[in-house]
Amino acid sequence: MKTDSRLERVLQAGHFAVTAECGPPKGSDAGVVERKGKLLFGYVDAVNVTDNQAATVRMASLAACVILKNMGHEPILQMTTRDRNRIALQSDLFGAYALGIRNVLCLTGDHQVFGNQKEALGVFDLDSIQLVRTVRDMREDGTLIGGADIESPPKMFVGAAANPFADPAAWRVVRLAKKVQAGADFIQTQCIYNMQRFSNFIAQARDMGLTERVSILAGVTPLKSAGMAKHMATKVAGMDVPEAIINRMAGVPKKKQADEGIKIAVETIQHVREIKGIAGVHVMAIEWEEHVPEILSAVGLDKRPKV
Amino acid sequence: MVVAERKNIEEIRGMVDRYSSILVVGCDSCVAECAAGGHRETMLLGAALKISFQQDSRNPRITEACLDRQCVDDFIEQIAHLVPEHEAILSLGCGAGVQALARVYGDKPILPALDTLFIGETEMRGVWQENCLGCGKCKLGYFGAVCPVTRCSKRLMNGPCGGSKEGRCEVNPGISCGWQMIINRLETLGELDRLSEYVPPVDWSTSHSGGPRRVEREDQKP
Amino acid sequence: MDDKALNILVYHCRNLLLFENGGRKSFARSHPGLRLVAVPCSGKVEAHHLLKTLAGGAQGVLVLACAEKACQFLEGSYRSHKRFDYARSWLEELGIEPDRIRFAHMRPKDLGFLDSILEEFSQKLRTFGSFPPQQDPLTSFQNTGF
Repeated sequence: MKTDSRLERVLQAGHFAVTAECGPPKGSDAGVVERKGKLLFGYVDAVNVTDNQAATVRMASLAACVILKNMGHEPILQMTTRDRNRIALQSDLFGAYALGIRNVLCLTGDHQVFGNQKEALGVFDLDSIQLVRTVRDMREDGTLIGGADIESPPKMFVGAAANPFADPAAWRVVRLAKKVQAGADFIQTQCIYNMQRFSNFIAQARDMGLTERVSILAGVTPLKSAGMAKHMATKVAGMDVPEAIINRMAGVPKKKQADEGIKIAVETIQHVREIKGIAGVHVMAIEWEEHVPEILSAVGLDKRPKV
Repeated sequence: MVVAERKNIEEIRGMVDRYSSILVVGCDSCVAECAAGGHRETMLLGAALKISFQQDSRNPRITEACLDRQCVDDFIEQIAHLVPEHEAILSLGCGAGVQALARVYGDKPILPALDTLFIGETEMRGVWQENCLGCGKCKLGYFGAVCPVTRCSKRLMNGPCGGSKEGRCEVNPGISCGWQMIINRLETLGELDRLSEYVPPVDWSTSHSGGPRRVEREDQKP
Repeated sequence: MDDKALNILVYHCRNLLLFENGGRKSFARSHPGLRLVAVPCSGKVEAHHLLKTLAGGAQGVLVLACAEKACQFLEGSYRSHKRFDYARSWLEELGIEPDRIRFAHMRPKDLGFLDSILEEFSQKLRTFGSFPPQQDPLTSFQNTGF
């Protein structure tokens, strides 16, 4: 074991891992985090806590991680390089570890232009891959960027994201390889609606031996409505929602669309479980956490292993 | 070159309103190339200011002059005879020109008529593209002469991010994805292998992060 | 606006050969306040010329160009039109009627057209206030600071 992360233990033991996403509130109410934590408790191996996703100001990811940790959850601290320079990022990693956080997902983050602080200075001192390397070097070499020794280095299980659906298509797997080379232990993918493209991507990763070196968790986001499907298809960068999915959502009455979305999510999970090289699933039910248990129950993943 | 854009007349008026004589000084270098502060634009702004003041029944003395280069003393001194006759100087130079005028004419208010934007190129007539951030440590040799620091909206050194679609940047479809350009160029050159290696964090100490930069060369000094 | 002669300046391409067969004097007599300036090509007329002319007291400025395809400098007439549009955008920004400047293509020697466009332009200018605008007495009073 590289770390004492529960997620690492689950993956090491060969279980099909389940993670879910929890978006912190746009305010200071710990109760919101606790409510979401309660909905997910017992159903997931670890919970991702987003870091001001969509560049919108929310409760600090680290604070929400600690709230979840105190409830018995295993948090995954999402960290973007958009808002903090290398001094702040490394400092936060020390702090997170001191507070019992054992997993970190390294991201560059959505550009500030998408959020509610469009005039903000985008920091981008590091990129996501450099952050992966930084967290890995802390653990493996006990050093900061630049080589200075750390007294008690944090030993984090390092994650990164992968988007098989962005362009240039041929480059996606190369970038995955760079993340693995930089030290990623696990990967969580962009949510999957185009299964063919996803399968091709994983096949490429398998051919390059990447699935042996990194645990890939397939991203799944249940669609709430046909409107959401259309929005994601056209408005959200790096997303691939095929016509067939939009038509399927639009093909049922409005009242039944949520059920259809959940059905699609269930089918997606069943499908990715069959793909060789997929180590788990990452459910991102955006402001819809209450449906995570039923999705997981439907695919028989609701009972999590004791590790 | 330095690319700039004119401020709107309202903002300019707000700065010069208190003066009754204004020397409008252009610069015939970079800002002439980007049609913001050259000879023509200086004449134009002078005339526009006159019209603007006339609308308020005011008739301040407005004189136009244009320097070959507003950031070099030898040229700046060419307007020395005009300066005492005017209460303020409205500069159509870039930020460097404005500050150089202020250094030379220490007792005059120097006001910027332009917003200085970036170091860039004239991509075609009427189109100027930012392509250098002056980071102080040029890495173009590794990226097919496309700068990731400048052309990628997130300054990724290990790009592209997940928001690249059909060669466009997620920030705005008017922006070409810098990383798509890097990949295209290196593919053309048969040097895609340059991108397989991890690129470590940028040393920003040579950029403005290290404080205002200065170059001194003894061989060039008088 | 009263009926006294409008102060109009016309920049026209030399190749329009306006008075090649004479008649300049009688034309001037019948158009008091009008000034004609021949330029080597309408493309030589820049936005700053138009604004300077207005700033110098003209109530209107007319640019007469050859047809785009007839331009002896190939692009001059086309460029002139673009510059003219740019000058209009300045007038809009300054809060001046953009129609105080006018652009037209014409065939060489077509004095009939010249007459009609001047008539039309003058009528338009007469609908505008004077320039520079005369302030009403109350506004002037307020501006004194009392």
